[in-house]
Amino acid sequence: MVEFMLPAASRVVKGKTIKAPAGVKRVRRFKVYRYDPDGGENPRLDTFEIDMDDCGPMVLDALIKIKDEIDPTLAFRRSCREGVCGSCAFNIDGTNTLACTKAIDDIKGDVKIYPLPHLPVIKDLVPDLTTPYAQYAAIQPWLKTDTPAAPDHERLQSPVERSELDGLWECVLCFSCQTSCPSYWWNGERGYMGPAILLQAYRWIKDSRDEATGDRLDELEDPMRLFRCHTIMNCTDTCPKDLNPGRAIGELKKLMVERR
Amino acid sequence: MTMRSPLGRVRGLGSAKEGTDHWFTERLTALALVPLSLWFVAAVLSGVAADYATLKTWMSVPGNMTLMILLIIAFFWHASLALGTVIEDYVHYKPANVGGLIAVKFCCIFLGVFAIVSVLKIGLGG
Repeated sequence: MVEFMLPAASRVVKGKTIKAPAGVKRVRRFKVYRYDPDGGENPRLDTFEIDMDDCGPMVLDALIKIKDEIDPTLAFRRSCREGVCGSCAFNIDGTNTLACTKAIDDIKGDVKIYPLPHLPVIKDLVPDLTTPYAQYAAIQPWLKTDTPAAPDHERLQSPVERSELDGLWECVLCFSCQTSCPSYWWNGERGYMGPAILLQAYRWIKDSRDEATGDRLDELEDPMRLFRCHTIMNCTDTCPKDLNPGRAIGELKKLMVERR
Repeated sequence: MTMRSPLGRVRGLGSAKEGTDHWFTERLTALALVPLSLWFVAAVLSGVAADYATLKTWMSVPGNMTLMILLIIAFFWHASLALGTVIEDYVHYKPANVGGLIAVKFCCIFLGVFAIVSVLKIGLGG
């Protein structure tokens, strides 16, 4: 059976609490998942009290403040701090999203920050993305053509054809949707590609310049790879870029029926 | 522990090149079940099963018998596909997975045929 409970060694225990300095007026409590692979101990939930008069407005600002000023051992991925690199995806306040575009003021009560769900944890908030990256490589996310490119100009696309990629090209591969999908939790390691990869696959299938549409559909036509999507729609709910992976998967299924 | 590359692991045995018919049939039977179920509930509420004699008279009408048989086919066909999907999703231990899938198929076929035979016996029986 699938495992509905975490293994004993993975259960989260109470961690340390770092109080805010005396006299601080606006305090917010951040509860952060910590796991040290070298320590041999269970993961724990540390609490950090932060002075909001001396912290930026986003959850990432608070994490950077914690790392810079309180606990430099805290590990997390971040880069662009403006929602285009997809590095700082965590489970924040119960929802997968980007810490850099999630305002602290939008969260009521304590701010709980966990790594993306159901992936192996390397350290603290850093999950192991080996499988999603391999799945991304498996769909061959590049333009495939047999027709040679014209020597004097790029491959052309009409404005309408280009507009069909809107809602697809904006994906930053943060894997918030991928790891919000229960079907991916149970079957990601058994073949299900997951919403992020299927949206990317559809991006290339929809591209008017690509000449491998049938081959791409062949590769996806599989009870696990594509049809393990049960239209739960967590993917679309959680996408921090407001994209609709659920719709992209629906379009893929319609193409499968259309070409029968 | 495996030394296989992540890409090799993800590619696995390759695409099965099937799944569309299963998915499409599951939707088609679900669609058929909407009017058939509404008709069946309305018929039961209207008292066609008040006693055996009333039911027998109602079932012997060709239209009613046809719709009942269609309801049974759509229901057990859909149940077989959907319960199979639940087992594929959640039962990862291979012998239990295969055994469960076989059991679901056999049960649905047996119960479906049994239900159709019952309808024919009630509707056509002397």
